Amino acid sequence: MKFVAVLQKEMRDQVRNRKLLFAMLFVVGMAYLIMYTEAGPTKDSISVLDAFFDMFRMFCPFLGILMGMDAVIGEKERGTLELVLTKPLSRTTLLLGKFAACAISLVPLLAIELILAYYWAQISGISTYRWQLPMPPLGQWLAMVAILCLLCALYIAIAIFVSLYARSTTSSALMSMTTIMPGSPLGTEILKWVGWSDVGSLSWPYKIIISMFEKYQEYALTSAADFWVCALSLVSLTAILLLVAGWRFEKQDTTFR
Amino acid sequence: MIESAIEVQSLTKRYGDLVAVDQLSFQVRKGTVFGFLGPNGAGKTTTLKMLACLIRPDNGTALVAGHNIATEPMAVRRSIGYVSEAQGFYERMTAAETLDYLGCLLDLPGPQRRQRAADLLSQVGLADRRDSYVGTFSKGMKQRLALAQALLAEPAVLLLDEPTLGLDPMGAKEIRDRILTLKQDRTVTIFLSSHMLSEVEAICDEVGIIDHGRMLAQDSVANLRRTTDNGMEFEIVLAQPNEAVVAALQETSSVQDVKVVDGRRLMICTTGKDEVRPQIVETVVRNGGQMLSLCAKGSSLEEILLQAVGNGRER
Repeated sequence: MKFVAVLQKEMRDQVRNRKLLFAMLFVVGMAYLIMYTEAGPTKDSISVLDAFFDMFRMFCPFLGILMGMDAVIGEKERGTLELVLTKPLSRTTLLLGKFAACAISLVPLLAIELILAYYWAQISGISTYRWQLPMPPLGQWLAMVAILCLLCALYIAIAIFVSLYARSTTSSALMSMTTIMPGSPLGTEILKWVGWSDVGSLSWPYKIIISMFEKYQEYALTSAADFWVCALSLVSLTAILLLVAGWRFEKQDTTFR
Repeated sequence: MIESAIEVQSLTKRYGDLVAVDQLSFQVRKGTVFGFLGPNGAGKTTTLKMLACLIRPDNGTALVAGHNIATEPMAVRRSIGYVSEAQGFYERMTAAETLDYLGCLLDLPGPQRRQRAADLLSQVGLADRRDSYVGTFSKGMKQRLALAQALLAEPAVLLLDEPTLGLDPMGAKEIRDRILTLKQDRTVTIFLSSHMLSEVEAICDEVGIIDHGRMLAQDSVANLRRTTDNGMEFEIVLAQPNEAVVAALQETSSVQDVKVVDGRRLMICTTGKDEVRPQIVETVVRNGGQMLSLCAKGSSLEEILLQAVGNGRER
């Protein structure tokens, strides 16, 4: 009941402070950018899926961070944290409620818009006259949607974790953004450096480790088994991060404004 | 046996090298109002936050409403209401939504929660603003809402940290009146930290004076007055000016000083803690004076506080 109360309150907050509206416009803007500008697929692209994935893979962590960056520090800054923490509510429940509210707001929004983009690209004929590329099978597209949604959820959890320790909402956002780097540009470099160019041939413990890397996520879109390894690894990582955040928060002396 | 609502034993909290609360021990009796006094940085807010389970003590224990703050934090939170010096609220929630949300966190069932919220909003004079966003409230209204949320679960112990800080006189009076009403009920123990000494003097049954995280004195205001080294101050009004009375009083052993204010009115400072009023009356009458009134001025709480803090720092 308390979890639901926190969830409802957080979702109402997101509607009233227009964060949800901003996130929605952001996703629509990204889809528009990819479909109708040179940022998206061109006739020189390898595939529509790769172009979409590259673009959304870059923006989704920002969306997750946007939703979760002020989860704890924002409440500390406004002095509202002590209002709820003097009530019989466990801090883990508070964090889980906040995470669920962010995820429930963002993930369906992203999924629906990406699925609509898939059908729009076919109905409008844009894939034929503009990109001159075939659309990927729906299953592969849905796999991309799932990986992107899980990535969003992971970065919401990362932002919430960081917001436990940040000294302001701004520093929380900046610190969270630094966690994007290992996944995307650095990850590929690391894989090159250790000589794991063929990620498909790695054994599954290694695949779990590199599941945050863009290169492996891209590969996972082409292999059903790797999709599940990647998806489950992202889910597990998110869950572990939330549990650790809850555990740390329970131990933390909360300082206020 | 006197039951305690709050029992603190050797409570200690350090922030790095700074010892904010140092081996603090005290008790607060059930149903009383306890004033917690001390200069800025004395450790009052840290103590209150430890009692409210917001921060963890490094050493020592405290029982709030019979529950240990270290091992039973949820039970403590169920038994307390807490108002901080500048209570923050969700600005985009209405007063009714705020109380409903906090009521949910207190596990109050729906109908009871709504009824209780309506009653409390009415008691603190916010019934007509129940559907207004808290962001539109004045500071005084926010503090009244803070008091309402603290009373939601009908707490056994109310922890108030500077509840009237920054309020205008009318706002401060409203909060004070509400605390006095609660005091009359005697069902809730109130732990009040305040810099408004007149407020503490008017409301509290007992006060504790803290400095550098240590309790320097704890007693009723009347007893603290008796135990100060200042002695007492009396004002007497004579029917007519009488120099013989003034001279005789100045020679009295327990009288330190006599000031003639306007001929007939005398201010007498005494030295000890003993009762000297019969001696004063006798001296006046023996020297042919006609006394219209005798009034004990006593040490103010401010003097008691300053003296206790001064003595504590000398030690």
